[in-house]
Amino acid sequence: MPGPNPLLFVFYVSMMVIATTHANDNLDDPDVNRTTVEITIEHRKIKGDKNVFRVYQGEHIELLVVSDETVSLHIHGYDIEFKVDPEEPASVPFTAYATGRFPVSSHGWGDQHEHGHQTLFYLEVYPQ
Amino acid sequence: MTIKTALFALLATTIPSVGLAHGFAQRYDLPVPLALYLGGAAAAVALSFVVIAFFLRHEHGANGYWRANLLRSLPLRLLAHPVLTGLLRLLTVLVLLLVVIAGLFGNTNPFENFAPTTVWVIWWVGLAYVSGLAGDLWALINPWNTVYRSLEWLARKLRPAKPTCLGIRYPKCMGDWPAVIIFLGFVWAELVWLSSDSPRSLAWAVCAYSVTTWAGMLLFGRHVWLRHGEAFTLVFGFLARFAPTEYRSKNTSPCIACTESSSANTHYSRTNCLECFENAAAENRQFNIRPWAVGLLPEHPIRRSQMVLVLIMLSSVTFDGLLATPLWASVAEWMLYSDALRPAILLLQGPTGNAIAAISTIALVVFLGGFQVLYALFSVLMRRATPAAFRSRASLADMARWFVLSLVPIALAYHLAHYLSFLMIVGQYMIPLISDPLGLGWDIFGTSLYVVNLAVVNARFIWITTVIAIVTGHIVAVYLSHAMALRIFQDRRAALLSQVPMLFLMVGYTMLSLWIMAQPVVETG
Repeated sequence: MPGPNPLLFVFYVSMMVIATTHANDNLDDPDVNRTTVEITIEHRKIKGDKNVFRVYQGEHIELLVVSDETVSLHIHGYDIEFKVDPEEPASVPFTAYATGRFPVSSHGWGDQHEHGHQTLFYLEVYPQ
Repeated sequence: MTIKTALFALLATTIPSVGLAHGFAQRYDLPVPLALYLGGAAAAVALSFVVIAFFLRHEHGANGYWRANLLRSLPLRLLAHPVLTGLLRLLTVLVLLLVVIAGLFGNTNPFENFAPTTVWVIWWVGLAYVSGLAGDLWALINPWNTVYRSLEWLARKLRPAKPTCLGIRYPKCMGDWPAVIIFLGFVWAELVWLSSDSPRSLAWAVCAYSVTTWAGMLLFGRHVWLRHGEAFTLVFGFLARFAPTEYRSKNTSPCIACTESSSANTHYSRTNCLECFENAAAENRQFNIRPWAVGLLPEHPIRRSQMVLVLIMLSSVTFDGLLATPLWASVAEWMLYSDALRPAILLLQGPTGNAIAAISTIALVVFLGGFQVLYALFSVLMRRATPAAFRSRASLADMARWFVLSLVPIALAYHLAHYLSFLMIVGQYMIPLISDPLGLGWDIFGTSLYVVNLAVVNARFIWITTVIAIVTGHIVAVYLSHAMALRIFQDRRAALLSQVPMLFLMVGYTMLSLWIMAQPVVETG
């Protein structure tokens, strides 16, 4: 018979040990090295074949989004919402503090609100 | 053409609400990296042979197992004191009540209402963890049981001569089919139902299930319905067979199951039998620690309806995983535009909600049915592989019903792996929700402003846990099926040969679990 499950102990201990390190965006700090992720939206789709963008945990990210149409975007999980205009590309700085695969979806095109959530691309944050 | 255009239009408007598998909330899991996935798969195959070699060298087949009564120690006896267990039961009844009240009258945003998180995350996912890893907690806290039992007690006080149920004799031919049907409905609600995260709909579903359960208890008696109709008593009970604890009673008067035909029931040594436990005097009650998974080696073949239920449990967990894979996205797209399926989709999209729900329903039925057929096929192979001289020991039906429980560890391991980050991340919603269960802006415990911390668990930890859990589950499954075969055939060679097909099935099932975990999560729609 298998013995007691050591995984359980690991599980509980790690739950207690892992310190909560929330996003700490040094927005005003020019010395921070930022990893840039550039996205172009055309005809309500991501330009190019790539729709998964990989970054690493702890990196300071700058998400640059250009769109041919006004759109509200939502980074799920991190719960960051921002708007992109054709005249005004968005630059969204944040720290990739948590690993995971996070859908980025549109929450309304043009002046419409909540026309539906359509996933445009995924942001994958890998452990270092 | 017009129908196709209509379908397109329908899809375009309904996409927003689909993609919520497993009832509620999103998963943010990263796929398990290829190297780990392949390593896990190789380990599963290699370790299978280690388990088999172990059987070639060692004597097995004893029916008994080691157990020690935890109630002999004072701290645990105090913990199991009727006052404390009574309070726990009362608390669970209050939680049930709060789920219904919050669902019916609270905020309609699923994340600001107590009902969806409590039902889908804490109860369904969380309690499965507790059942599989700790023990049959549901038997103790089942609020439907507690309410009916309290009413029984009250009725006996007020009118001692009257029975507490209508006493209709439960038809033997019904087996555990009521539980099977209820569980099928539950699986559909979890995986397909578009309103599964809507607090209102969920509360009504809970009400409907409560009425059904109490009606069953009233008609046939509380224990009869718990044993045959209360799906979750059976489901959590099967998971708890893996757990290293059991409750047991000795020297009790036989319960209904004990007096039922001795061959076709699951009543093994009065272990985890609530009726026997309740009837026993306090000094005859035991709460034992025991080796892992021994409960999955039954003393009798389980009932046919129970076998079907176990197979539904196994396949629905896998189907849940498949729903988030790119493979399902392609299959769904193909189904949506297939001419052959169009009549069925148009027929089903009304009752199910939309075209995606219709195709998910079709896929669910096909997958669950296919799994039953696959297991039947492997049962035939298992019997064919058994040397002719030993075939009289177990008929084909018996073989199928003896061995099905040995697959449970694979499903349990997959469940633990699949939901680990979900439980740890989405489970955090309970922290703000206990302060503001109805989403009305209250702050009872001062935690209503808590923000969910995504970093509570790291992907690398999840990956490693996933692979270790799935490989361990596989090894336990291979061990169990061989131990079972040895117990039945009392011959090493016959046991090994009979389990060759089962080994293939287990390897395949484990590979599928690992493969799903290595797929990127996508939302279909």
